[in-house]
Amino acid sequence: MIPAQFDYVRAESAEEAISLIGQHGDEAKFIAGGHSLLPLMKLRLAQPTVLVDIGRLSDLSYIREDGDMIAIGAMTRHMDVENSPVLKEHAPLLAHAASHVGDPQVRHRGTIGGSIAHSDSASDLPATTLAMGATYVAQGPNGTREIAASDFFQGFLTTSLAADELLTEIRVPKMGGAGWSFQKFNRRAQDWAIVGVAAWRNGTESGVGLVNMGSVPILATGVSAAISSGASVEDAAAEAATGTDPTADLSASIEYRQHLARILTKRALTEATS
Amino acid sequence: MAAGSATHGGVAPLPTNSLGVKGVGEARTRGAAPCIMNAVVDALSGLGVQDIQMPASPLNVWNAIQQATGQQATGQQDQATNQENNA
Repeated sequence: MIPAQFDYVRAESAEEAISLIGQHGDEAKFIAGGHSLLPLMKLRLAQPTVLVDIGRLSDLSYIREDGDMIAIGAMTRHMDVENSPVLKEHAPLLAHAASHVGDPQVRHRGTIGGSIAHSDSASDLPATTLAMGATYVAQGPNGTREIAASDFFQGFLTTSLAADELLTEIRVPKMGGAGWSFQKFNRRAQDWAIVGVAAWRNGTESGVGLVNMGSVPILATGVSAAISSGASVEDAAAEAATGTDPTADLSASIEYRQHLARILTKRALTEATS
Repeated sequence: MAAGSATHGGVAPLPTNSLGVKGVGEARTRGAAPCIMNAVVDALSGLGVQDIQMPASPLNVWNAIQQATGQQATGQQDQATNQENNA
């Protein structure tokens, strides 16, 4: 449980962080709250030779309105997402989902940008922001670009971020009057979800994100298609596991995970519809 | 000890297990597990469930229901059950 040897440098700005990661090549990694990367390093599943610490980039910690979007700095801690009056008013699904991440210690250290860049399909915020139709802002040596959440998650712990790009901002649409729900099934409160569902609905419009139902967070497009064609909540939820390929582990078999996806989607849509 | 009383020792193996041993200490806590498991089986008896292995994890309960009702079950139990079966 001791990481392999690595060097450590602290960046004082986003530009410096990107420059440092460029100097050190593929074996360097950004570290923010350290609540995903450090456990992997202790298990030696990750062995970066250089860590570029962005933990002091306080100018990347913010939540502000930007037209019909909410812009969230990548270094914003889960606890600040959970308690943000702006998010509670305009994107309550995200604030609520953040309250389900880990335990209070994790939520005080871990960041929304770190969680999304790490892109663990069992984490709550990648699937939640995917369901909300979020956009992620990446900054690289040649400037910034926006990446739709639906294009971001490429595979197990793999994103479309280039090695020298830093995730700097998460942009989520204001939810207006949409109903919403976050359903997380686990055996202990602080655990990752065995299966989770983040959902919003506004009439025939909806978004449903599935947590831990495959190697990447999944947008349940079949459910939303059924809702938009006027299907009942029950019939729409029956589509939740269609096309999914979850893994089996000690807590759930493949079939049980698919069962949970359908049940939790039904609960989520029922809550979001009422 | 009161005058006129005496203490006698004796060996009386318990006939209900192969070693003849009796629980001591916190033996009475052992009733809790079968009590709870019997309650789970009772609750599921209407579906035809007659037995379920500890622990009553969500996966094990779901599998028991699937098997009793003839639906697709996964044949997989969680680790604690497997260890118990292998013991």
